Amino acid sequence: MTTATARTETPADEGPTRRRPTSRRRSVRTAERRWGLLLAAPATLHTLLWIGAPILVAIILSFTAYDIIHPAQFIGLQNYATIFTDELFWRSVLHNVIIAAIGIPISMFLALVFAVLLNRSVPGQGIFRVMVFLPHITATVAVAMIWLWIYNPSQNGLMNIVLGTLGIGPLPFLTDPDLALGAVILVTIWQGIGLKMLIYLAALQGLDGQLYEAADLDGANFVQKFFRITVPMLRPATFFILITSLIANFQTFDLIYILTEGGPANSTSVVTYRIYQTAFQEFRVGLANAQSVILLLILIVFAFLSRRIVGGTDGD
Amino acid sequence: MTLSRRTLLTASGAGAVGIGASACGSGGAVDPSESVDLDADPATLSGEIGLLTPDFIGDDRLVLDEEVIAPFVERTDISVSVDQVDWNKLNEKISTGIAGGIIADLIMTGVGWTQPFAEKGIFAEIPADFIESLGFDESVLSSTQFEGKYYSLPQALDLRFIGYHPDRFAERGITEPPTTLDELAQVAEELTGDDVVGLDYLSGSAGSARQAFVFLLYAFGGRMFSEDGLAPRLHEEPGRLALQWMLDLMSSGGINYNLRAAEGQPSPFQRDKAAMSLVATGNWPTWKTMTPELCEEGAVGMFLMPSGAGGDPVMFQGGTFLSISSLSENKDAAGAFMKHMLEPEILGIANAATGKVPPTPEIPENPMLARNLLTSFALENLPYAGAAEGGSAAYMEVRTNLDGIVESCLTKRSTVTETLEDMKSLCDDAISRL
Repeated sequence: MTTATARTETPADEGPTRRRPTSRRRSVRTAERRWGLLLAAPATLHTLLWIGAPILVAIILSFTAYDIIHPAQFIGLQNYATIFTDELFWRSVLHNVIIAAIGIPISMFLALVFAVLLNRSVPGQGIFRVMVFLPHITATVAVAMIWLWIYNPSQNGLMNIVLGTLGIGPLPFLTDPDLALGAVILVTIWQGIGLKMLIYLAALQGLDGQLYEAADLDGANFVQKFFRITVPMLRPATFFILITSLIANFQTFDLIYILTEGGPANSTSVVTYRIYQTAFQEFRVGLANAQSVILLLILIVFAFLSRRIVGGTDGD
Repeated sequence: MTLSRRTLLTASGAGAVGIGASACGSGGAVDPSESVDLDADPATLSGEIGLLTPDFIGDDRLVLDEEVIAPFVERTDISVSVDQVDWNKLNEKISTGIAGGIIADLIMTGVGWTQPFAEKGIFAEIPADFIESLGFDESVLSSTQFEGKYYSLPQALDLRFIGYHPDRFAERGITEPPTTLDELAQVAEELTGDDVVGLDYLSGSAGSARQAFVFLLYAFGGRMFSEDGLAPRLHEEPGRLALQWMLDLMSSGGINYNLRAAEGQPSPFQRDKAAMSLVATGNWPTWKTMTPELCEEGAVGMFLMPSGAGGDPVMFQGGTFLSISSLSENKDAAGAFMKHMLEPEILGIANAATGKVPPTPEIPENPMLARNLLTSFALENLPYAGAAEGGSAAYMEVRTNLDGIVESCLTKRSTVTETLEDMKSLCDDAISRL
């Protein structure tokens, strides 16, 4: 085997001299390329079979009238035309937007506060971190069941017990259309803090301590350091959390399915739940696939934004 | 080792085909049009069948396993596996089962479900001569047909009417149950106060806002669809009167929309927080467990929903119907088990457990059934059980959305006129796709 020749140093106005690879080196590279392809094949095959193919099928079905039982019939863009006049679908999109607009900023703020507090060396720090993170790793079905009890319409519900001590209520959280979406948002905030806090915590631990030392020397207080150093330095983490939260928000399903089933009066219906209803309650699978394609486009936009904001440094 | 491009492609292709083939499963093709042979000797049948049921919840499951299924399994080579699902998830369970190719052989559904699933070819036709041999009353068979053929059979009826606390009536000097809907509204208002609501009409026993509306629709002389099921009728005058009646009573406090029974807890009526309530025969087991005092003779008064159109009073007819899947690979075994479930003794045992009403009075003496005062009242008034959901092959497609439309009206998010227009538009759209 020949030894590789090191590149010679060249003046700045010249590029490095390129040597024509020998046939042996070419064959080694070819073999390496083939091994690379072989090693990548399982993952590629998996992606094509279980992600690519379903997406392709969904796109194809979105142009058909299909009810699971009878053969699909091509109907062109009719499903998409139906979506644009489907008031309930767009209301569901609006609910997603409302949940995102209210829930995400609040949960991000609270996550940041918790992260800053838990970034300090305090006794029982680990226990507090686990407590805050626990809602994120708890199954959403279990979370929804817990909150069903908390929102219990009778006086036995924890929320109404607390409100009762303040002379308020009892409030019908899940049966009043004016309260139900707010009740759902509260659960998403509670459930979403954990992961956001963990990301902020990781980002906080990567901050340069010298900045704070310099600020101390300048006489900055805690609030000034927080808003002038911590918040600006955490901007990449904030953007990452924002984009991933937006994507996750549009994928919310199980919480709604257990907690409200989209009710009352469709006041908590979200996009994924509407797709589910269209497919499995109304048997309009073609239309549901068209709705899924719309959702996919929304998620692609967010994913693209995410890559532009926080990605693009890994060379791919 | 070096690898040629051809070898790599071959290996990848073989892998893909292998995975694809395994994903397709190995089940044999089923002819959906294949008829059910109900004359087959059960002793000659074998294999496994699946039963999908929304009934037999909790302790009732033991009755299903030990007193309904076990005797059948003992005398045949057929095993029965049970898949249980809540009523409100049954529709999705069936559709996802079809999509996934895992559909039960015997499916238990509700009133109004037969026509849509029969139209889609999911249910197998049941021979008419067998049904005629059962001697069931025509009134309980009206929901089992589609285009003149039978696709299901009633296994249980769940009948709804109004229950009341006699002492609440006595306190207000009310001596007789109301006989018109106006009187019912008036009595509900009179009984409201002191932390008690006059009529609990929209909580658990109603099933849903949709069913509460349908009950009143029939009480006002309306119906959901035309006779042929190809035109909606629920948006007509009786529909308007039904919605307005609920809204008026909600405005006066006689009905509290937010009154709800928490999961696993006694209903407002059981807790004496409602003077009157919509009750269902299926409430009996819950009453026996949670509030046995309500099961004493005279503890609860009962009356039918009065008419709002000067006609007869009405009872709401829900129920559980048995159908054989057209996609079943073991239709004859499923048919044999269906026949077993419809035997009078088994009907008695099953209905005593679920608190429902057998579809025929020809049931052997069953003390548990005899003690069910709700069932007794319902059986006495069976001819009035005319209010039922469905009536169109498009019904399953509109069913869930109707809930939201009715709720929008009851929560004043849409007017009565808008609600009726939405109902009509929803039904027309679904019917146009048939």
